[in-house]
Amino acid sequence: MKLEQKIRKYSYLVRGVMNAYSQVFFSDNGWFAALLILATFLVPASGLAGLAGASLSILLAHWLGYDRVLISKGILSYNVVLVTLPLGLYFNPGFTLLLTVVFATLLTFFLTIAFRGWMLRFRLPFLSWPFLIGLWVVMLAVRQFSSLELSDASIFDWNRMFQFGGIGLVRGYQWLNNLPIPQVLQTYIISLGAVFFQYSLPAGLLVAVGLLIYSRIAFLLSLVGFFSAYIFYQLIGLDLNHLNYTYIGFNFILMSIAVGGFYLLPSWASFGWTLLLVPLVTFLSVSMEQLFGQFQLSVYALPFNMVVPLFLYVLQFRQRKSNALQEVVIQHNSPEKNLYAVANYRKRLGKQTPFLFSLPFLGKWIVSQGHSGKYTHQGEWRHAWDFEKTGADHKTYRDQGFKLPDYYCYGKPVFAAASGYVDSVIDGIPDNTPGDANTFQNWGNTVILRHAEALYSKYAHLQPGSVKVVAGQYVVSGQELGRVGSSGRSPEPHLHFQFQQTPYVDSKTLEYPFGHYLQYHDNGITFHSFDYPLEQETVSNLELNNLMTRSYHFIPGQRIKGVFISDQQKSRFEWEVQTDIFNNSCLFDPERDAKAWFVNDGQVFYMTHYDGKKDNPLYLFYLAQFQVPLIFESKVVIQDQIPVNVTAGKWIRWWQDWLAPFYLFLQTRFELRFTEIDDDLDPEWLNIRSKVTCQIGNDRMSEREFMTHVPDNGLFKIKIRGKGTPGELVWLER
Amino acid sequence: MEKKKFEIPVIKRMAYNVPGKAGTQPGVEPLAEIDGIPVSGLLSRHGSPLFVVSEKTIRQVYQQARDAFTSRYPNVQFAWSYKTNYLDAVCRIYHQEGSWAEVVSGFEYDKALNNGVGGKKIIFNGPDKSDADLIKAIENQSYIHIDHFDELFAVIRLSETSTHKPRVAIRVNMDTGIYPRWDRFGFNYENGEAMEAIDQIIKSGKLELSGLHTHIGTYIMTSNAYQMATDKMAKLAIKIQNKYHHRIKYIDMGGGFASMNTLKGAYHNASDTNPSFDQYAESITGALLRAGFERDHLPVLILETGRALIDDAGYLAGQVLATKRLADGRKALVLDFGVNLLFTAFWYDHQLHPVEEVSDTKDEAALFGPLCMNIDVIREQARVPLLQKGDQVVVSRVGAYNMTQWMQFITYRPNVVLIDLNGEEHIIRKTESLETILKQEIIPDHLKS
Repeated sequence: MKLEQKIRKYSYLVRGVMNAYSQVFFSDNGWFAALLILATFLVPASGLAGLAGASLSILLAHWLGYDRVLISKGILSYNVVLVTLPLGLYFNPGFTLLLTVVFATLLTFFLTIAFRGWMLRFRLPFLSWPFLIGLWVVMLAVRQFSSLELSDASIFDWNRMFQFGGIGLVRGYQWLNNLPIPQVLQTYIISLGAVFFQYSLPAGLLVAVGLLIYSRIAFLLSLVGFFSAYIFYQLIGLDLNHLNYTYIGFNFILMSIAVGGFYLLPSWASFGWTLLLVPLVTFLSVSMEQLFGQFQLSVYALPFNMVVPLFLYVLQFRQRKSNALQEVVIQHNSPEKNLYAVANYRKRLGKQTPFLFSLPFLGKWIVSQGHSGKYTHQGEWRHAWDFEKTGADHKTYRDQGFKLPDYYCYGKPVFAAASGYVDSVIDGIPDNTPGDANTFQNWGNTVILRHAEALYSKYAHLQPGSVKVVAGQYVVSGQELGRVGSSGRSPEPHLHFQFQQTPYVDSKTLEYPFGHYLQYHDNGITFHSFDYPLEQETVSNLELNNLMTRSYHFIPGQRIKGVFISDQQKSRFEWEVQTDIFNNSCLFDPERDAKAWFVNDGQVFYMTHYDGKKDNPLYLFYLAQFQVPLIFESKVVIQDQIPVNVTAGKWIRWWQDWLAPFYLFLQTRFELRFTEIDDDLDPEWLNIRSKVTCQIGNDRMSEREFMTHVPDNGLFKIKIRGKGTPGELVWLER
Repeated sequence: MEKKKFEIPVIKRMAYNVPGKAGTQPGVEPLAEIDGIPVSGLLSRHGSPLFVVSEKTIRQVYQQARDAFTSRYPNVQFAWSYKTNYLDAVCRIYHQEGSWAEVVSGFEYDKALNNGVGGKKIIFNGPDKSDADLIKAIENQSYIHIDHFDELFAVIRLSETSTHKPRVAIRVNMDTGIYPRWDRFGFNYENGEAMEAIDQIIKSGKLELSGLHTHIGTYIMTSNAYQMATDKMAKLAIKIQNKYHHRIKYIDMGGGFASMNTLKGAYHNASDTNPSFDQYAESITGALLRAGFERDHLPVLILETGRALIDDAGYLAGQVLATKRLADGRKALVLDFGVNLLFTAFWYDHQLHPVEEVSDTKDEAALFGPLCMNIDVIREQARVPLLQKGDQVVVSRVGAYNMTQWMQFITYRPNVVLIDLNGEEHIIRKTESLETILKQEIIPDHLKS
């Protein structure tokens, strides 16, 4: 048991060593890493040196106390691998080589830290600069180390192979080499191997297969990069031998993957820019080769290392960021995952704002004038709302509407949309009789709140003498500010509300959404998040349900014990509520190593991400509770989309991956309804039904239904039907 | 040439419409149609007299009242006061709008159940609840508002054998600065009786104290009284919280909001003096928000207002049976409806409208009903146009209490028609006939011929 714990504790070091290989292709995929390591061992001495470098650097990082995540992702070590691999290839094994490997490791590791620190300041990746500097330095130096002998292993590789695997291996190798593969394809494959200093078809093939396993998009990009370079070489009449001989082609491949899919979201635009950057890489390859040739040094990956940061730096200074060419903000180490996560994020949470504004009133109100309204919300003041109340006949007043009190909204309280300081108050402007307007004091009696620097909210046309706050005072969200009146340019009583960046009464408006609200229409109720109420929409704030807010409140450190019961199995689970340093919360299943990341903003509970395997009760919980407003409203249907990379089956996703940069045909829809409550006033339980549907286009592939029973004691019961394992998830302890 | 209609000559003082100290005399406008349907047509189709209920008005007024409260306070629940008008069709409109049911007898309780109201949405008020009623309410988990100690003991006793813990509230009476003080219902606040009842409930351990209830009176013409009452109720709730760490779920402020009918003897017109829903809401919610409840645990505010919600939606149409000159020279009209149908005539100065424009001239007249009883007086004196036999009339604002307190006395009770939102007429209560009455009567054998 103790040993097992120890192994688990240090297993991240092993992951670090493996990722040191896959990280060269920006990946943290274990299979890819294994294939890459295998490829390097096609020249065992080289493979051994590389592995030694990787392990040494990982241990060094661990010993020096570097961040576990950085270590386990191999970020601090991949440059070391690239430096030590060729040492084993070029020189005969021996004590001198060992010394050289150790100190090359040390040097490259230091350079890694230095380059990382320096380039991060410019928000740029350091790529393989430490490798370039490290290897050049070592290569220049070792020429003087007389006890270091040049190795012939890479030259007489058949001999070596015979020693290693007998005649069978040699024949197999021969057969592979003699396969009728066109020259250009051979060059492509060998270029892939050349990234790891393996200039043979088998090595290249291993890398290619690994790349395909890791990412379809990256594989596609490697082809795009290489073959567009091939075409460009022909176009400008460059000697194709240049590509064939030094296998410098990996520069195009790496550049293509980096720009086309890794640092930018894969899209038409990213593919297009890849094509445009190919000539730049060509220029640099040719020119730098002449320069470095003077010193009998290879340029290695220098062109790639110059072009990619240069281009990313250029993109950073765009004023207007397009959706087509987007930098990846949260790196999932896979072009597919980045793409799916962002596509989903953009749909779901892309509109999210740090401030959660409520509607500035209670009950149902109608937007009598929305953004860019036809009366006054125009020009610089277009992002504003006018709110009124209507009666059963959809009019805003009763009787003839000659008197102010005839208007349903007149005298109704106005509340602060969020907490903040009262910046200024205008009071004492009389209400107009209906139909009249005071154009001299346009805004009438007004309260302006400051919520943050450059974020103000304004409440205008209030009743004179009704303002209940004074400048400088702090008000909390939902605190009364005053009453709806008809002062200023207001021909009938209404509340004018707007966000603005400056504190003045006539400041221009700011486009900023309300947090969560309900919109009422004839067919039911729609739930909106971070959205803009439109003209003629009837809206209200969420009426939070006490049982819901209580049940979905998870306290960090809290443990949830439960059992999953199905026909085949009965498995127990224990989850822990965890919070990381960025205040992200998750439910963590230590036994199955799974995490369901969630947010509870006080009004809505929603899932943001799931890490782990799918045959896990936590995954079912993640699906069932993907988005849950903390209300009970039987007429509302909550709709959302779950990222397809989390839900879709492996094989169907494999096909989607190829097309993903251009078209997403897979979709996973989430739908939730509040079905039953035992009592409105003092509920002991309530039921929620959620449905997860996987779709190709509009065709349903599979459907799963979850009946969540939320009782007073907080112990959820979730019945699962449909695809997968039907069963029941029962919490026993919380 | 058609013969001109005869007009009784009157002597009229020239007033030139000079306002008196109570303003100008309100004119009597003809009321030719209800929700767009001509009254004459209604009478010819459904007979005279006839009660007419407007669904549109019910919903409009309800929404106004609801908005007045929900725009000021986050947790508001209305409960329809059955006794005000318990015609099933009327009740169901309120339930559709989201109202619970507030009942004061086993009969009303059953009616509410029959209208599809869940047990947990029924509030059981009143001093008269039999053991059978209480058991039913306990098993349905309705909210029982306890009126007196004897009832409290009864509920505690019944809780021993019931499957559910009874959910109860106590009715509290108090001084709110108005007269008359309603101290006959519930437990008194000032003398500590209310707290004593609460002590008994909590210490018994057998009842769930869900809320507090008060109903300070009826036709309360000042909203300040509600503010006082709410203050006291909130204080009581917080006292319970501090003393027993028990949070009550709701505060039920009852009803009693005045409608726009003018009381007998009132100097001003009610629509000029009576508070609006907004004013009542302001007083009640203001007091609740100031009371010092935790922000996340504001009690639900329950309102049982009946009269102010339904009064405007009811009309009584009928016709003039005869015109008379009394011995003292006063004029009088005999109408085909009297206090048997218009029970509220005992305390309101009901407004009588002619259906058709008769003449500009208005004169004082006494309005009598058709009963052969001296008490059948609708108005001792009212300014009415010069009506004649056969002229149709409408009394407006009769929705509250009349369709429940009416009497089957001397004659049958008439049809009640509901005009729905599309202008369709529905008879929601049929006129009585001899069979209706005889069905209930049993003749002993020796009297059968």
